[in-house]
Amino acid sequence: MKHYILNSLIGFGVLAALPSCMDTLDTHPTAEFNEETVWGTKATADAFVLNVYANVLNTGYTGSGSCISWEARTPNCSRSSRVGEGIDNYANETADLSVTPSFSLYRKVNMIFKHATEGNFTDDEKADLLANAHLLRGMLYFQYARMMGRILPVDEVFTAEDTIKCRVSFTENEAESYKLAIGELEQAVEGLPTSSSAGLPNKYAAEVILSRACLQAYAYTKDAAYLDKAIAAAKDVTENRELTADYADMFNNATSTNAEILWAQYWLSENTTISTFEEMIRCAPNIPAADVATTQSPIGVNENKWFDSWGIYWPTQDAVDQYLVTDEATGKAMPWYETSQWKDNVEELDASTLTEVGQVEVWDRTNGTQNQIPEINDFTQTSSKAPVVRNWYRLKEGAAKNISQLMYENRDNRFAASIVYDGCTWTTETVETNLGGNFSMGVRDQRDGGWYNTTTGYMWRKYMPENTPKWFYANKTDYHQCVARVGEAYLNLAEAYLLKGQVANAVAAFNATPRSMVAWHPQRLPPRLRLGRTISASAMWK
Amino acid sequence: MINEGGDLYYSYLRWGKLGSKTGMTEDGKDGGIIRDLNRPVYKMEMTSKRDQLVINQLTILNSAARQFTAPKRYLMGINQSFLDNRAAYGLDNKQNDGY
Repeated sequence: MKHYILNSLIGFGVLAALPSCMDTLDTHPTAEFNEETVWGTKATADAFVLNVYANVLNTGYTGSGSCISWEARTPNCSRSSRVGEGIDNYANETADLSVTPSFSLYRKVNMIFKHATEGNFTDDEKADLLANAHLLRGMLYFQYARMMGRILPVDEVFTAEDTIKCRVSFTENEAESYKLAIGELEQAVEGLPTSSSAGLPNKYAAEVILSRACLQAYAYTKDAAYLDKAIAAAKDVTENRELTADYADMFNNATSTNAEILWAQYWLSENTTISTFEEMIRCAPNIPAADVATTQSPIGVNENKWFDSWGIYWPTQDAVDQYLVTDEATGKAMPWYETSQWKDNVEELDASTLTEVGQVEVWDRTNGTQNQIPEINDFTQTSSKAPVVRNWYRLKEGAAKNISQLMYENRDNRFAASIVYDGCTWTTETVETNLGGNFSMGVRDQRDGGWYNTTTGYMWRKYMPENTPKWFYANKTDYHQCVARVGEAYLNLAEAYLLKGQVANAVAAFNATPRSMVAWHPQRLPPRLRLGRTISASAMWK
Repeated sequence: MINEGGDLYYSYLRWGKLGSKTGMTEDGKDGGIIRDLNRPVYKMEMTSKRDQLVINQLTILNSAARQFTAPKRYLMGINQSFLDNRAAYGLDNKQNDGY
């Protein structure tokens, strides 16, 4: 994944914003420019800034090409495959992650400060460059602070003669790190405009990141002043920008400029393929028609290897559980297994009696192999920290609907926008993940993640562009990822209020929106917060 | 926010640091072991007729052995070679706890 100047320049909106620098890029090598060229005009300076944004975002915000790996370190997702890429070793602590601070990146950011100050720019141009430089430095400090606690605050451009000055010391502790990061972000908020072209940050995007940093700072320092800062920043966003009613558009439309998106990073199909991002190549499955036939799947596939990817990241049942279902009797949103339609039609069996491979069902394939429920892997390498079989359910006699319908119907719309599940339609295909289904575990012989198929019964839809051509690694596609959006401002606002003990304000922050508290971003709320909008103050943190 | 660049992972760290308020840690204390990062995750298996459902641990390749050690996991390590170089120049080079 390379994020060079050209990549940034062809971002949507950015192209229109920088017409005068294109001659330079057309007539000079794109790999390097001398300082005179870069800082000679505001347009070329902006191009440099955009390139640094791509670099800073790549440290852990968006665009690294493997953001999905962070999800696999939470209960939402598993990285699981036997085809060369196995489990995430950070999640089970068989490997450490370490961070190397990037001095070259510090230098790039500091170059912006230096040339904005010393260059031949108008006051407005200088202010704009400095505001962006503050955001970049603040984001870099924040990212390093949340990863390694103590940071190296490099805030000037060194020369070869600066052998003493360059001996920068680490900050003493997280408190000092966050103080520096948040100071920079606050200056960015002061200087950035309230609107920007798609692909560029604005004041509100910076405020979302500031509120995010303040919450993290509070957790690591216990300095309550950060909660007030988080509230002020998030509130300014919620009071001036709106949530969208079209959640899927923000993620599954490759070229989305949805109004809720305050800042996104965009890539065009000219230099982006399915394999550029693990969020695509490592999240889509591999479904040959011949294997579907061998499995004797009731439904085939419309096109052989329409899905021809190398998926290893799969959403879990834990993630699916977070999306609430509307109870058909009461209209209330609740976990799927607590709805009246589920309880009326399904009985729970004793999970402790499920002890044999194939005890529930065996499915024959034409090549003599079998798929089973449970399968052999279900009884090996189990963890004693939780039940091996969490639940075993069976339809009651005369049930009006099947398990799949009872489980997935009436869900929050964000579920269908985020996760591919049994019975849904995905691009050209009808997806079946039940035993023997065309997208099921074992449709290609192995139920254990061999051959790049789901190991959980689910696949990701979020950040999988619906208008992408066949899911083959070399196929080109537009793509984008959100850096900051309005929804997070509401979440940060509510969390800050809650941490201050102002539960009524926290609830009001949610209820003031078109979406109910339980109807958005459930994974971003602690369990105490996910219980419902009418929860009492004492119950929230109890 | 699900599948949005690590938002949830860092949120878990934040909530773990505030365990006495959020209830996210196993011992109910600030900075304790984060319960959700210290347990297996689950998959679903549904029968061909969609009349039975089993929800069980995802176990392959030792994946059920997820764990979270506190306080180590609240920060990542600093590249040791980087610190060794700093040590060679007499600069501060303290590693984070547990690394």
